[in-house]
Amino acid sequence: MSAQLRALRQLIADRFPDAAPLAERDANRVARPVSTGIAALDAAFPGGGLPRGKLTAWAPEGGAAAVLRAASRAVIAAGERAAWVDGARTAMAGWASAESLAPSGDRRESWREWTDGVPLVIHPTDRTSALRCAELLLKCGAFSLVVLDVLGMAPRAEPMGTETVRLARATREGGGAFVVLTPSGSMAALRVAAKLDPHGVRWRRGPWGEPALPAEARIEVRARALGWNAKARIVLPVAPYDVRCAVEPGVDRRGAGR
Amino acid sequence: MTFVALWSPGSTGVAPGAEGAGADPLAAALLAVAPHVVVAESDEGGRGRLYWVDARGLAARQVAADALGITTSLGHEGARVGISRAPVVAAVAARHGAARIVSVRRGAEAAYLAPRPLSVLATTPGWSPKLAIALADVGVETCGDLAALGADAVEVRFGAEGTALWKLARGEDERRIFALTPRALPSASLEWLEFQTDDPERLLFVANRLLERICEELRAWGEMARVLTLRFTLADRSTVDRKIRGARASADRAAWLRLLRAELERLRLPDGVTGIALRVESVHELDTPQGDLFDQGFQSGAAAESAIARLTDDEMGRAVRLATSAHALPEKRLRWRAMEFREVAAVVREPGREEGERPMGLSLRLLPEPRRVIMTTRERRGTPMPVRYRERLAEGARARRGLPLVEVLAAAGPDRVSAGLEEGATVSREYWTCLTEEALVLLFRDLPLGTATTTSDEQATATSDEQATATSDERATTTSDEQSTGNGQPATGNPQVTRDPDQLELWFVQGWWD
Repeated sequence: MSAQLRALRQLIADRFPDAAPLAERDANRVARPVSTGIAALDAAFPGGGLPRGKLTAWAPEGGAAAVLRAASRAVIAAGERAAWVDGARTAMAGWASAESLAPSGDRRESWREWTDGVPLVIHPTDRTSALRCAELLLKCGAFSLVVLDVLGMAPRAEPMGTETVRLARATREGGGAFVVLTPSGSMAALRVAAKLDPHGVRWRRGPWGEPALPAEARIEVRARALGWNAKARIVLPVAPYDVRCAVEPGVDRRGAGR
Repeated sequence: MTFVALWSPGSTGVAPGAEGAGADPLAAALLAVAPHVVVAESDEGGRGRLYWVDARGLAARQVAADALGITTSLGHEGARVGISRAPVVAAVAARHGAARIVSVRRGAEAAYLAPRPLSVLATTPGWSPKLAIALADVGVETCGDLAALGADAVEVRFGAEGTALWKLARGEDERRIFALTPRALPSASLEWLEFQTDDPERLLFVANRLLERICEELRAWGEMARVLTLRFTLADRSTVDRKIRGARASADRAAWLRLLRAELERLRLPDGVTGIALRVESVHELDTPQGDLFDQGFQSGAAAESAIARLTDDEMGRAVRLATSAHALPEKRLRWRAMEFREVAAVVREPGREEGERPMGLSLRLLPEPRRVIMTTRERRGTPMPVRYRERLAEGARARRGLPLVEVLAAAGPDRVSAGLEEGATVSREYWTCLTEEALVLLFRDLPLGTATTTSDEQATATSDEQATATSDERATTTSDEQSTGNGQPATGNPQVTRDPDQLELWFVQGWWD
C-alpha cells in the first residue's frame, strides 16, 4: 500500500470515524479487549482487559461482582451489550444508586426500576439451563460481555469438563468476553482471583468515634494467564446500605450508645 | 374505484345491508356478474330498492349492462343503473337518472348533482328532516345551492350533520360500501388413512413439511405468525387442538419447529394420529427496523433478540429487571421483575450509551432468603456482638469460600430495625456489619420478646479502635439451632425491658458486599 493511500485512509478514518469498513471495524473490535472500567486493573490483565473470544475464570467474591459490574457498565457505555446469567439470584444493590436504597419514613411502597447501565440479567431455571443460556448468548455474537454466576444454584454448579469446552467454543464463535465465576480455572485463558484485604478496610466513624460504616475496601486482584502473572491493588468505595430506621434527619442514632 | 348502483323498483322486503346469495333472489342472481353484492336500504314507501354491485377491477359498463339484463330476466321492469366514482352520485343516478344506464364521468360528480333538489340525498346517512327544513328556511333548495356554500359557514350554522350533507352535495362520499374481505391466513394439512401413528418423530416430520409451506407463505406476504394451531385428527375421528405461541412473532421455520417439538414431547394423545393440520391464528407484519448501518448495536440487534427469544421459548430462563423501594427491611427493598419480551427486545435492539458518572464499588448482595447461622457472641455494652459464626448448610453444600467457621474481625452495629407493624407482622432486628477474613457480611438477629436494647454503661465503653474489638471481660455466649427456641413471634423492642440472659437468639446472614 502506498504511503499516499495510507494517508488518505487515515484522513477518512479521522474525519468520518463511523464510515470505516465493517470488516475492519469488527476486526478492531474483536482485537480490543473488554475494559473493566478500572485503569489499574486493566493494566494487570494481558492485553489490557478481559479477552474477547476467550474464557475467563474469576474466583467468586472478594469484589469480583463489583469489578464485573464496572466492566458491564463500561461495555454498555461503549454502545455494546452485556449480559449476566445470574443463577444465584442474589439481589444486587449495585445496579441501583445508593440514594434509592436508603430507608424512608414514607411507608408507601413505590418501586423504581433500573435500566441505565444495567446489563441484561437472566434468571435461569436450573443449572443446565444456566449453561445453555450462557452458550446461546455467547454464540449469537451480540453480547460483548457475558457473566455466568451459578455458584449459588447447587453444590458444584459451575461448568465442568465438556461443558467448559462447549462454552469455550461458543465464546470463540461469538467473539465476546466470557467470565465464569468459579473457583476452578480449567480451560480458562485468564484466571483471576480477587481478595478483600481485611486490613485495608477504612471505616466511617460514628458520632462517638467508633466504626460505623465501611467506607472503602482494598482489593487485591491477581491475574494469571499463559506466561502472565500480575497483581493489582485497587481501592473500591463501599456503597452504603443504610439499615437504620431513624426517620429524623441530622443526628446519627446508630449504635448502642443512643 | 368505480361504484355501480342498481335501482330496482320491484324489490322490497329484504333486510338492508345483507350481502351475498342468501339475502335476496336478485342479489343472488347478481353475484353471477360481480364478486360482491350489497343490498342497500329500500326507498321510502317501498317504491324500490338499491343494490350495490362491486365492479372494482371490472369493466363497469359491462357489469352494469349484465346486471340490468339479469334484473330484467327476473321480471323487475324499470330498473336503472348509475355508475360513478362517488357512491352518492351512483345512487342518485340510479334512482333519478334519465336513462337505464347513467355513467357520471370523473370530476363531473358535483355538476351532476347541482341542479337536483336536496331531497335526492334523502336516503344518505347525512340526511335528516330537521336539517332539510333548516336548509329550506335559508333558501337552500338544490344540491348546487348547498355545495356553493363555504365549509366554515355550513359548519357554523348547521353543525357536523350539515357538513356531512354538504360534502355529499359536492359529490364527496367516503363511505365504505363493500366490507373488506379478510385474507385467509396460511394453513396446511395432511391426512393418511392407511395407518395411524403416535411416534413423535414421525409426527414432527410431517409437521415440519407443513411448517415449511406455512413459513414460505408468511414470508411471501411479509408477515410473521404469532400463534399457530396444531390440530391432530385421531383414529377415533376426534380432534385435539394445541395452540403454539412463541415469545415473539416469527416466520422462521426452525423457531416454530423447536416449539412444535417441545409440544409433541409434552403431549399425550388418547389414540393414534391419522392427520395433522397447522393453521396460523394471528399474524404480525414483518419487522423491518430502521437504523444506522454503522451502529454495532443495530447490526447485532436481531441476533440478540433471536437468542433471547429462544431461551424464553425453551423456558431456559427469563430476563429480569431490578426494582428498588425504600422499605425498612433490606430483603424487601430489592426485587427482580420478569420482563415482557417486548421490553427485552427494546433493550437489546438499542443497547444505548450510558452518560455521566458510572458508580462503582462494593455493594450489598442480598441472599434470596436470609440464611440461618450458628453464632458465637460476646456481650458488649449489654448487647451480644458477633464473634464467629458457622453456616447451616444443606447436605453436600459448601460454605462460601469453603470455610464453615467464619471469624468476625470487626463488627459495626447494632442497627436496630422495627418494621411491619402496619402489616400486622412486626419484625424487630439488630443488624451488624461484620468484617471477616474474606468479606464484609451483613448479619442480623431477630429480637425475641422482652429483648433489651439499652444498658446503662454503653457510652462509657465506646471504643475508638478502627476495628470494633471486644474487651476480654466480655462474656461469650454461643447459640445453636439445637438450643434455639424461636417462636416466630418477634416483638418490637422495648428500651426499658432488661434482656433475659437465658433468652436465645436466631442469627441470620442477610448478604455480603461484593
